[in-house]
This record gives sequence, C-alpha cells and structure tokens, in this order.
Amino acid sequence: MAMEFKNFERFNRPVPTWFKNAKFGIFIHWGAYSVPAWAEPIGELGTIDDETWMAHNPYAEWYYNTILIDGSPAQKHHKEVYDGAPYDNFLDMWSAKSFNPDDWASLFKKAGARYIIPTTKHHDGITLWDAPGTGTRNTVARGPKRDLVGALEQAVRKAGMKFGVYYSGGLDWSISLFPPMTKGEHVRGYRPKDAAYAMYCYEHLMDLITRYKPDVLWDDIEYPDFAKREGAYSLAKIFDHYYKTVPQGVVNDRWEVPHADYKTSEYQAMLDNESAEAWENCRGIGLSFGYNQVEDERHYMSINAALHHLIDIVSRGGTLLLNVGPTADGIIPDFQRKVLEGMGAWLDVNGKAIYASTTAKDCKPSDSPWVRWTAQGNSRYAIIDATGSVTFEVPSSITATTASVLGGGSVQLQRNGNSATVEISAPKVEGPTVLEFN
Amino acid sequence: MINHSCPEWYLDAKLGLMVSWGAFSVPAWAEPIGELGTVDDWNYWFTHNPYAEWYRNTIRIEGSPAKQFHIQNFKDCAYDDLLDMWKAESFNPDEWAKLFAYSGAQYIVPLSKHHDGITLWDAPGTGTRNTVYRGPKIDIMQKIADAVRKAGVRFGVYYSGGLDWEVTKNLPPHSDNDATSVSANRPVDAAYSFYAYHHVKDLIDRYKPDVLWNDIEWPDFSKREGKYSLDSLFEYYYQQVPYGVVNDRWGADQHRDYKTSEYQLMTENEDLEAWENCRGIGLSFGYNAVESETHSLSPEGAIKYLLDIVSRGGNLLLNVGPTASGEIPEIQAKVLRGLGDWMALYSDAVYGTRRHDGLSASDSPWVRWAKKGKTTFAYIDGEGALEFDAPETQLWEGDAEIVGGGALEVKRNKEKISLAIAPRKVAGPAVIAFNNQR
Repeated sequence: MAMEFKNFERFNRPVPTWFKNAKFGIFIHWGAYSVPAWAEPIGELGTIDDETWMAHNPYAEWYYNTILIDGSPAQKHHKEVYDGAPYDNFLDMWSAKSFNPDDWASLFKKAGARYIIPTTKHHDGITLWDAPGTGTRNTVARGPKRDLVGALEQAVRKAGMKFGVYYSGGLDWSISLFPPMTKGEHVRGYRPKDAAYAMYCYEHLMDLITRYKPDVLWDDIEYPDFAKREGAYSLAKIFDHYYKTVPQGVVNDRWEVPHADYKTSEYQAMLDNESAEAWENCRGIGLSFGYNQVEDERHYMSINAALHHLIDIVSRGGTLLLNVGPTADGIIPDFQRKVLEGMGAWLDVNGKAIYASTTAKDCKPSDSPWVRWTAQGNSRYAIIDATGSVTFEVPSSITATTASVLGGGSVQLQRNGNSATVEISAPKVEGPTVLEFN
Repeated sequence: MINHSCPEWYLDAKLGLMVSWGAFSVPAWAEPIGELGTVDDWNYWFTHNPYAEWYRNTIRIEGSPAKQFHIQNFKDCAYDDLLDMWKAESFNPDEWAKLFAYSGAQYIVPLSKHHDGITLWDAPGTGTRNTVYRGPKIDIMQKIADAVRKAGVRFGVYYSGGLDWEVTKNLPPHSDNDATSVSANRPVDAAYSFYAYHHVKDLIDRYKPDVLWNDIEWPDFSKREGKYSLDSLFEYYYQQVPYGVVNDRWGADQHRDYKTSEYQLMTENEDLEAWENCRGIGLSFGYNAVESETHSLSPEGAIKYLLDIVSRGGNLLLNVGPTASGEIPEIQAKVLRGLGDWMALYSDAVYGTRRHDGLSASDSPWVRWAKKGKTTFAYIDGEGALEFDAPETQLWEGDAEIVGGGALEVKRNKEKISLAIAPRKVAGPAVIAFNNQR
C-alpha cells in the first residue's frame, strides 16, 4: 500500500529524560494462564530452536497455544489435570483473591524499579480492564471481577513510580482462526492483520491512553498491518493521541513501523537491538513471564545473577524490564519477591552508579574478574563482583589513586600501566561492590 | 428481548429490489448452473457457483472453471485490483431510481458490503478499501438513498455480517460438500463483531435505512446483551428508525421482523409470518455476463412470480445486477419495465393486500388470490372462458369487475365459478375484483 508508513518520522524526538534515567522497570504477566501456571522450563529465548520451542514452550503465558499442539507435553498435562477444558474456564477460575495492589507497588518500589508495566491484554485476548468490544471476556465481568489495570495504575502512581501498559497488538488467539503455532515463522504469519482487528486494537489502545495515561506503550509482536497507514483508526492516529495525552511518554519498537522511542531485546533474542540509543531487555526471573509452578531454584536467577544482568545492561546503556509472574490468587511467589528485595537492598546502597548513569566510554568490562563500568557527571563507577585483592583494567584517563566504596569506605589503587589492583572487602549487601572514581 | 413487530408499510409493500453491485461486477462471470435450492451437491454448487458475487470464493477453489477464467482473463490480478477497475462511469442514480420506481418496487435494498468486504460507502475502519477512495470514488449508498427517496421509494441496506473474506483471508474457500462450510468458516470473534457493529451503526446514522438486511448470520461474539451487542444495535436502530424492519439472517433465536427465503431454498420460511423471497432476475445476484434470456425470468414470468408470492402473504425482493460501468443490463431492464407496465394498471390490487386463506391457488388455469379490506382479488393468467374453484362460503361472485375494464358476469356452478377473460393491453395476468358485500 502506497500510504504505508507515511509521516511516522514526525513522532521521532529525543528520548525523555525520565526513561533514560530509569534503568529498571518491572513487567507483570498476570492472566488466565496463571491458573494452570504450567510450562516446560527448557531454556532461555534465543538459545533454543524454533520448533522445539513451540511444542515445549517455557513461556507459561503461551499455554493457550501450547496445549493446541498435538503431542505436546502441555497438551497431555491439560488433558490430565483439566480434562481438556476450554481455556476460557481459567478466566473464571482466576480468583485474584489475595491481590493487594498497594503491597505489590511497595515491593516494586522497594526493589528500586522506576516504572511498572502490566499486561493489559496478552495473546489469549483476555483484557485486564473492561476494554471496548470485549463484552464479558475481561477481568471486570469475570474471574477477578476487577479493573486490574486501573487498580495497579493507582497503586503504582501513588507509590511514586511510572506506569506503562503492555498490549499484544500482534497476537490475539481469540480473534484469529489460525491453526496452532508450531514454528517460529507462524508467530508473525498467523496473526490477524485485517481492518476489523485493527479497529478493535485502535479502540483498546485509545481507551488505555485516555483512562490510564500510560507512561509507556509496550506493544508486542507487531501491529495489525491494516493500521500501518495514515487515516482513521491507524496506528499514527493512536500515536497522535498518545503524545498529546502523555507528552513524555515512550513507545517501544514492536509495532514494526518507522517510529520507536526505544528498542527491545528479550532474554538472548533480538540482541542486535542492544546497540540502539535507547533500549530495554526484558526477561523473567526464571524462564517464563507468566507464573510457572514447574520452575524451581535451578531456573531462577539468584539475587546476584539478577544484579549482574541489570548492571551489565546498564553498563551498555540499556534498561532492564524484569518480569514478575504472580499466582492466580495474586501472590508474588517468594523466590521472585526475594530477588526483588535483594536487588532493592543493593540499589539502596549503589543506586548512584545505576540511575541516570551513562556508559563509561573508555572503560572496558571484564568477566574475570567481573567488572562493569558506568558514568555519571564527573564520576565513573567500577562495579566489581570480587573480593580480596582484585586486579582489573583502569583507563589512563582515570588518574585518581583512591576510590570511594559506595556504602562507606575507600580503596587505594596500585597502578600498573593500564591495570590497577585494589583490596575489596566483603560487601555489606549481597551483590557487587561499586568503586566511585572522581 | 426486542419488542418490535413488522410494520404495516412493509406488509403492504409487496415488491422490493435488491441491487448487487460490487468489484465482482467487473469480471461478471459465473456458471449459470441453476437456482439455489435445486442443486443438492454443495461442493458442486461452490465449485460452479452461479452467483457472480461469489467470484472471490469461487476462484480460490482448485480446479474450478472460474479459477481458470480468472487466470485467462485477469492473469495474476489480486481480487482488490477489480475494485480499481470498477469505474461506475455510467452510473446515474436518478435514472436507476426512475426505473426502480416505475417497476412498482416500494423499497430498494442495495449491497453496502458483500462477502468480499468492500464497502460501498466510506465505512469506519475500512481505510481506503471502499468505493469512496477507490474505483467508483463515490459514496454509492448516499447516491442511491438520495435518488430513490426523491423518487418516493423507501431505502434499505444489505450488509454481509456473516462473511467477510477480507477478514478471513487465512481460511480456506467455502467448498465443502456441506452448506455448513459457510457457517463454520466465518468470523465470529470480538474484533469482527465490533467492526460490524460500527458499520451497521454508521449505516443507521447516515442513511436511516428502512430495511436492515443482514446476510448469512451475525458474528456470534455479539449475540449477547450489553454494549456492542446485536440487541443493543437493534434497539438503536428502532430508536432512529421506529418503522424500520430487519430480516431474519442474524442467527437462530435472534430478533427479526420477517423471514426470508432465497430462490428455492429456505422455503419453509414462507409461512404465516411476514416473509420475503429474494432472487435474481436470472440465476445470479451480481451481474453475470455469461447469462442470456434463457436464464432469466421473462417480464410475464416475473409478474406471476410476484403474484404467487403476494397470494401467499410474502414480499418479493427481486435483484438487479448492474454492470461495472453502472448500466442496468437490458435483459433486466426489460423485466423491470414489464413489471412497471403491469403495475401501472394493477398495483392497487397488489399493494396492501393480504393472503386469502379460504381460496386455493390453481395452476390450470393459473389463478392466485389475495384480499384487501372487503375486496377479494383474483389474478388470472389466461384468456376466454375459464372455470376454477371458488367455494361459495369464501366468495360472493355477485359483484365482480375487471380491474381497469368494467363489470364482469360471473357464473357459479356449485364450488366453481366461470368467467370470460378478454385479451389485455399489457402482458401479465388479468385481475378481477370481487366485492364481498352482498
């Protein structure tokens, strides 16, 4: 279509400071799929071949699709445990009875997150608010019987964090009459692209923008192609409304149009996006976004591993969107809570090296010892996961002979050309030690 | 529950015209194999579909002659290219309206969207895929509505709520040896329901149609109460157009003002309730250039077809299929003129009549009955002395006149009456009016 993509460039503008400074956000995947909460924890996205991935999908929020794949272990599980019941029964079984949005918000705040993005409609098409045209197939009319998006929005903002929304514009399994997705290419091929679905998404997003003024619009898996043009019900019209309503808002890159405020990677996939000016990596604390009760300690990141992931991303100029997958009752599982609290404790002490930081241009990271660098103002920060006598590369532009240790104390540098040796004592909070060079 | 019964105007109207005009009028090609309801093998029907407006489906069926025709004549043209080739350069809505009004039709029901999904007005959400932006570059609905209303004829709209092949591009063509392949392979989801709702609401807002003629079925998702539901659409419609009527093709157990049959199918609907039979003048609704007079009703045949329906309490919705340029083909125009010539003399004996349950139709001689107030009408096709059943308990023959021709002597012989019918000035049956007041 000749009109496609016309004038999307008009939305391009500098990345808003709040997003550049935020560094750490929380993703929330909560849905009817949190009832079965079942998937095979086979590995991280980007490390498994497509066909194996689809039939053994470790993403519990993909349950709807996985149980449709003949012979899949998920299908077998669904038959055994639920006698093959219709997926929508899970919406009614989703009680959310222990959901306490203020408690969630205070945990996220304590974790040091600066923005929170819940799923408002995942691929199963169930909306977490009474979205236009969804009739009773939403959490207001069924299951939780509550506007979950609104409840989170209020709690998150009250706690002083930014609030964004995830919306699956690409896939909506309740809309399309496609066969189940068994190959990677199906994800983009088997999705509704037509005028009717484009109109539906338009009204959903306009409603989300008007009602919740989200600071982030996080689309997933493209956007209905019919709307990638100018005119009524187009994505361009949505962006117009969005930036007028939320001038400092940001949109991600998964619409597949020539505008994005930032790019995204996921686990170990789409890593080429991590060279963009602004980017965000998302992943679960384990191997799934939706809660997966099959997972255990072997699949979760430890506090230290989660911190490594955050610090590594921030040192490369990115942002981490770490996912939380609550249970159907509305409880954030202990292992996830523990990681968030651990990250928060570390950030309380070392946040200076993270928030609002930039990359440290001439400083080289290292994995042995584990060292990452960030910069802010006149300071550079070496974030080091080692104790005792540690030798690492320090650029000649750093002439200081001492560095402060965030959280108290200082160390002496013994320079030897491009390297320096310091004596690092055991940290007071779990996680790497941060040395500040002025 | 909708509380609305069929208004008198509709019961009185007797004759309406459907207008099937679309991108399919460009190829205007189908195999005239027979009337709907006379071909038992559905796979054969779909593969050799005589409905030219089904072209887009027929050319997708492997091995169909239509597919072969398309390749030979349109090479690799996509179906939507036909929209651009549809120029409507000779479209003169006032000329159409004049001919339609002359035919005696009391309401005109043009297609606003057929199964190909192309709208004949700039329907919400259709972007440029409509006749306002492409092809004719005209709001065809508005033009026809204005012209027929100026000519004193009511205006209704046909809308294909059941099928939209643009939305279900990914589904296989309808070709199973089973009529349910149509019902099974149609969009039923929330997004399409929303889209169709907005389309019909827009049609109501803009054109206040006197008839809402849905086809195939309404998307299942909105067959429930609440916002965007079918019932709420009906409520809105009757609020805007209190004397409007809706047909019965919204799905089983949905509200209707009247039932429909089509050619020789669904004739079980031709019962004591209000009903309407629709058919083409030939074997297709969309213009089929392959057809000749041998496939078409003659003017006299059309009049008798109408009177047969009238005698059984129904309405005839006779279809006109204009050419892509906007001409009414001569075979069809001749039938409309023939109907009009006859109606000019006899329409008073047709409009406003009701079925006469006491008197039986006869095919030899051809006699049909109807009543209006205290008058009983006999429509008689024949000349000279004729005798036929008319029980004395049902008919008093003492005061009979030839409509348009003066008094008439009628002799009674027990349960039969005999009379002499003179040759007439126009083709078509004679009409005798019996004044039942002794």
